[in-house]
Amino acid sequence: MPELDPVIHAEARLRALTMLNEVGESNSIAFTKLRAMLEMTAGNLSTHLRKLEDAGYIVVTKTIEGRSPATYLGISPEGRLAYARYRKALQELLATPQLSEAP
Amino acid sequence: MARKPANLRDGSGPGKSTAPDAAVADRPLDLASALRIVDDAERSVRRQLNGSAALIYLLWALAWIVGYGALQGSRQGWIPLPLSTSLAVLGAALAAATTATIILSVRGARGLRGPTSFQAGMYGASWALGFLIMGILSVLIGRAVDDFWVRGMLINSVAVLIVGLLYVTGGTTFNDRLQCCLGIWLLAVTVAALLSGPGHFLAVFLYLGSSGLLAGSAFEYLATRRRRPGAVSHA
Repeated sequence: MPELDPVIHAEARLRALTMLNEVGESNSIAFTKLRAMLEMTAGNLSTHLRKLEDAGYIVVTKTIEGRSPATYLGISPEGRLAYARYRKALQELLATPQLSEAP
Repeated sequence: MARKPANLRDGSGPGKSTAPDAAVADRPLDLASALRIVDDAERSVRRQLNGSAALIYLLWALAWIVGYGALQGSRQGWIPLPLSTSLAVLGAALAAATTATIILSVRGARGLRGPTSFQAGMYGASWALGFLIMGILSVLIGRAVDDFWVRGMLINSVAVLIVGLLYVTGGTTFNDRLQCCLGIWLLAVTVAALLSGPGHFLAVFLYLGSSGLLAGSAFEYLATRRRRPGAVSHA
């Protein structure tokens, strides 16, 4: 039976990692833009991103734009791999009748 | 793999992590909810990073309906407007759609770094150069061709040729099948307009071109619309 990565399998982190995966491995997105897209509070998003960063799934880059600090986020190669595994496990579990019918 | 977490609390936004929704969002999910979250997040990224493509296609469809409709109506006598005024309406409609497209596209690309940003920049530059050449060609065609409707057919066909080719290029660059299909449709419309000749090209652009853009807008909207939020079950 495949297992779902607990770092990814939580609503906020799943949404964030899915978005970062869509943005692409070589690209990064500003924290403020991601926060607006996810419609999350800065503190809440920050907490979840830190868990993803601790797992090595995202790369956080701090820079200066004009005179303001800016944070950019991108998915790491490990993150892409973990996300692909998660999606595969999810599909397999959903294809198992008794599990997909469970509430 | 342990990494030292970067300090996310900078001037770009993060603050205290005591939001009441934090605990709920941290709980594990049931399988169906997880799949729905993945699907919704993918739709959201596409909608927000593509510069609201559904809206852009809709704006262009309206610009074509208003612009080509005014010209065709003036020609057929449905609308009591002189041809010069109808041409001005077409020009204004296309200029308004161009301005809106630039604003929406720039807004979508803001806050991104990396190869996609470079591709978007080059793609935008191709549009600008393509239409600079289009402007020069229009002047040259205007000088070389006396007949008003032959001139109109050639200028509009070259313009739609550029749009169609750039849609196909953009669709292949950004892996957007719908944009590719729309580009191919606009190229087919250009072929039809040229084959139909100066007497009917306006009708081809008005009916076939506009309907293709409207269909593209509807498909893009359905593919990326924000779905009604449902309760997410937590396991």
